[in-house]
Amino acid sequence: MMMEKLLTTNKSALDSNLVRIADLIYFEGPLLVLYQDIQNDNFYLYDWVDHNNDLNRWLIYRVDYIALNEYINGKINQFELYNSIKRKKKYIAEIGKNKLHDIFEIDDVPIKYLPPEEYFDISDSNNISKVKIAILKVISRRKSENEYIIPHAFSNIRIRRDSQEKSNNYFHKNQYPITTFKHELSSVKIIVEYFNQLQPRNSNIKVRFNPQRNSILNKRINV
Amino acid sequence: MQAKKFKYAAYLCQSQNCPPDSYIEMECDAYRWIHSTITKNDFLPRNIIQNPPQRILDDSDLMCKGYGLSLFDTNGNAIKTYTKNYSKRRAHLRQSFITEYGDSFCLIKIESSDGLGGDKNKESGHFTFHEYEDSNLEERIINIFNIFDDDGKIINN
Repeated sequence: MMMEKLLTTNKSALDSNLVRIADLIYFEGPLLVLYQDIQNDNFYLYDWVDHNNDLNRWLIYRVDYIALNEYINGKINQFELYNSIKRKKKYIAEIGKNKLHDIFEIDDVPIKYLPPEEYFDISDSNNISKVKIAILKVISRRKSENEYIIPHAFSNIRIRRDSQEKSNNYFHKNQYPITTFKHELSSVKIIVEYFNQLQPRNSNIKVRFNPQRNSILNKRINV
Repeated sequence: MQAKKFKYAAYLCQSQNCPPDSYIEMECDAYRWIHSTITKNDFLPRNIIQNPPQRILDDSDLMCKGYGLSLFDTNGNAIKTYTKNYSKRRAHLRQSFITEYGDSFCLIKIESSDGLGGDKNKESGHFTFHEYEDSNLEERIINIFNIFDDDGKIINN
């Protein structure tokens, strides 16, 4: 069994301190694995692309955290996730029998190694809650005055002006969609904390859960 | 009563609670992907197979499950999961999927003396089976079915 021949111009180690977060695709072993650089929060994917009788070959590339959130929410496919950072370094790791043989940078990724246009399937993954929490942590850390990027995980949260505004009107335009953390109340508490950290200092915004009948979130939390 | 010994016991004892307490002896029909001409890998757990090398990034990939055999509860689920995983592979890896997992599936009659099964996935019907030391599931094969037709297309059940 032959692997694709790769053209490499220079060998360089992946200068990152990566920690495994979760397997986005797993079948009888990992196929697409999310790692995070603990020094700068950047996300990397180990994407299984080839093998021979001795080695498995993994394509390693960095992905944008917003795109990663969109991927796990089914908004973009794996190819679009790969393209979320245009000018990025790509690496190849060759691993045989639980031992790293080589890791090197490549300039061009062979066409057949490019990620497929497949959408995320939660049944292929494990520990997706870890992925969501990792993304939320990055969002909270990358807060800036002009950055109010709230992930889909805030579906159950509504935002309203405080009493000083003398209004109970909800900010519908700020009411973020979609995915829920139905089974992870603890995660939702973390989300609320992060959301509050995202608010400007002089802002007075209240966050509460939109109570849902028969839901583990059937509990109003006022912050 | 003396506990029954498992195949690959030397590996199983390296994980806690392996096989898990929830695993039970079963008497049922089960389906497993194999090659039309049975190979030595067809009834080996994936962590035991040396060639092709297993996809292991760290020790966490050497889980207890990897020392059990993958089985399905129905022929439909066996084909459905095969189709899903085959079609999601990059084009150049599809042939190696067939080489690795086979081009057929078999019906096996599981007896309680064969081992313990568990961790059944409700959606895919997949479960893991740890054989007892003296068990040989290959001898339990009732029938073998093709996954692909003569044109190389997956047969829809």
